[in-house]
Amino acid sequence: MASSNLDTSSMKVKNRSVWKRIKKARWGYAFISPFYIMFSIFSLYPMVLSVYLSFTRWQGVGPMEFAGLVNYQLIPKDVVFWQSMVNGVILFFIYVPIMLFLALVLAVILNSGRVKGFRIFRTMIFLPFVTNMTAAGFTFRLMLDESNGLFNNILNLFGLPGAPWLEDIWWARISLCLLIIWAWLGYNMVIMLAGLQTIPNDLTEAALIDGASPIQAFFRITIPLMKPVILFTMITSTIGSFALFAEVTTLTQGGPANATITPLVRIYGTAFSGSFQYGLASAEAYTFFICIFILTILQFRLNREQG
Amino acid sequence: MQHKNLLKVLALFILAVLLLTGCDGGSDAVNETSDTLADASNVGESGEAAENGEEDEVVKEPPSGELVIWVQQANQDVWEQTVLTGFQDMYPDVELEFVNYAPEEVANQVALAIQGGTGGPDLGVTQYRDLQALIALEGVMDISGLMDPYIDEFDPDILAYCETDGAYYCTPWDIGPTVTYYRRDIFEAAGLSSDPDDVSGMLATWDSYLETCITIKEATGLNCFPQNKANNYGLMIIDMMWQQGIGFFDEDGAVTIDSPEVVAILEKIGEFWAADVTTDNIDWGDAWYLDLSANIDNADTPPVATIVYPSWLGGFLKSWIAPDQAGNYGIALMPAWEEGGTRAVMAGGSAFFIPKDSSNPDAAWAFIEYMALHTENQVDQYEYSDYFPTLLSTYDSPLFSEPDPYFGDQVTRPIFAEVAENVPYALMYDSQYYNVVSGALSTAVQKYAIGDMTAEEALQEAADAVRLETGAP
Repeated sequence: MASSNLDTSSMKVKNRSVWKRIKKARWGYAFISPFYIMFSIFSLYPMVLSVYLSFTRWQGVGPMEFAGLVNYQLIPKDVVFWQSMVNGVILFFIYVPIMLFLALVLAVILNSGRVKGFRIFRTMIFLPFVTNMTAAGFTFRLMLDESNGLFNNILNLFGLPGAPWLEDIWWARISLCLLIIWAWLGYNMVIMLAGLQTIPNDLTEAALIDGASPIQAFFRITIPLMKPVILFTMITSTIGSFALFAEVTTLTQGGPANATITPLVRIYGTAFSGSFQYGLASAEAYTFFICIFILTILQFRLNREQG
Repeated sequence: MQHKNLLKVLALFILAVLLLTGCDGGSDAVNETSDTLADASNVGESGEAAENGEEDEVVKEPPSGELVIWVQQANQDVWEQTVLTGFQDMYPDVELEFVNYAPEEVANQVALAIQGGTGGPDLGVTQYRDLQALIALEGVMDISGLMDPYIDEFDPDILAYCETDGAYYCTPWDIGPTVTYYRRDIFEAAGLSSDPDDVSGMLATWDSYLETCITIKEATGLNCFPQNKANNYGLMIIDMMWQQGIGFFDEDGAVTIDSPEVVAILEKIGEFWAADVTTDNIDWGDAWYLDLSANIDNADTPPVATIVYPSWLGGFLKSWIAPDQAGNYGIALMPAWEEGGTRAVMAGGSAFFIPKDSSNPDAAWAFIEYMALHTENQVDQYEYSDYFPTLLSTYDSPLFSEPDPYFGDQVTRPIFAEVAENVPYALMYDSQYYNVVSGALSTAVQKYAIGDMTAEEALQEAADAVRLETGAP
């Protein structure tokens, strides 16, 4: 009895001290509260609700009917969803290595101090990232048109046959990757550039004085030191490949034959395009989340082991 | 004091969260209001109301106020170019506000408005294919009472797309009876007759259509029709299903798209691809427009000889796809699945619906009556647009016996009327899952077309996807 009284009083003291600390930093909390209010309404609430939704049958109106694990039991048989996951992996392997390598090379060149007008180049490479994806997607679609598009017209000028950019499974995936690289190269380059600026120049300079070639210095010094930054861009790009949406809906609409449908497009389709299966869509979303979560942990582990 | 301020901030935060997330209470209130409006509107026009003096008085009061209409631009254009001024003269106190969306977006936006309980338009016009999904969301007003006097004015099969459990939720505006548009100059260049009756005979079945296509290809080098493989929309497979009365679901609600009949249909389409008589251009793309509009001697982008498409394509051919081909096109019946079989099907077409949350259902109904339930007005809209009218009384209009100069002075309208009256019933548009099934079907066609799967495998996979998403057997 005595000890329980003690526990209660120590809890009270603890609560009071927490409250005191909050009170002390009240203005700080007040100033950061807009983000948390918005986050709670537009992110946290939907995330929590989706967990519940994934165990229900609900079409957006009326009472939610609790369905237990029914939606999750459907997931293994959900061919389109798994095809979208496979597409995410394929797209990842096509564009991520190329994009990150190009981003790093561009960042190193711009960071070398030998490029005149470095800020102009940096801005130009970054510009596609701030371009509206819907506009970019439709423009790419026009340029990639098999019969009248700019790309094939240029190829024809050189006597080369045009490619079925959006009319073939693999060409459509390549076209999508072209758009993604165009849009996201600048963003990744800026991250790499920020990373490079934390590496002291002395290390590279010392290596060069000791007789290393610039390429050797790049692979032996820059890349190892940039590993945390590369890992960061790799993780965001991994998530990005599965979470592509605007790029797909504007350029390929998931076709041909679902070859470019991504998990996010599939989840959106299940929820909003006709059948309004919010329960199944939420189950797909959480399955997708778990897969990405595992993938990210694996990437971290792999990096740590290599490190 | 400061402690109190912090509490205030927290209280405000909780209040904001509750206000923004507590949709249930809000939507109830909206539904309550809309139910009242729906009741008023139903009672206002029903027979019972006529016996009640007071309510009758309410009905006679002309509608007024703002009327927000969500509609695709092309439909609004038809009204503006034909009878809209007449409506405005008749109802000067109704202030019209049009909000344009892409054809499929009208229904998507209304669905979101219904689910979010945020209102939506006072009146909407959308394709039949999207309507049952909206009705299933219980966000569309039951207008049975208002429709009662007009039921016999429509083909029952068309009206079925507006009906659920014996109640009517929309008013048909136009339909798309499907025919074969053919190029007279290409048929003549191939040494074939270009007379519509002869062409109808040549295209009596899909098999004879294929033979004719091969003849044309051999004689002129020109393809017969566009039929894209990798991004196929699935229109042809749906046409072939519908004309045989095969819906997406059977009477027991079971999915049909993996049945042997549908497999045979997909393989029939494959015969056209195998014979190399189609272009690979996707519908509504630049190359597709050139297929339909190029001159016969255009070696770079040669035209195709035919296209099986709904009536509304005629208006687009005349106005912006191929105005230069005036006199070169003719119209024949579409091919049947087998000799003597049905040569009629429809695709597209739209209907008016009043959302439950409409704030001005009286004005909405006045607009519907004026645009869709008035014979002369429907005829005027048809004459301008080739959007085929749904009111049976319009088929007796003198317009139907007039020759159409664009089609070489052929009297085409009775052909569309004949098709419209012969479209067999198939459970297509009156399923709330039309878009789910048509999406799965087009993916199946694509997978078969590019050689990824056999017809049977592709359709099996599509059917399984539909079963998973709809819960149908």
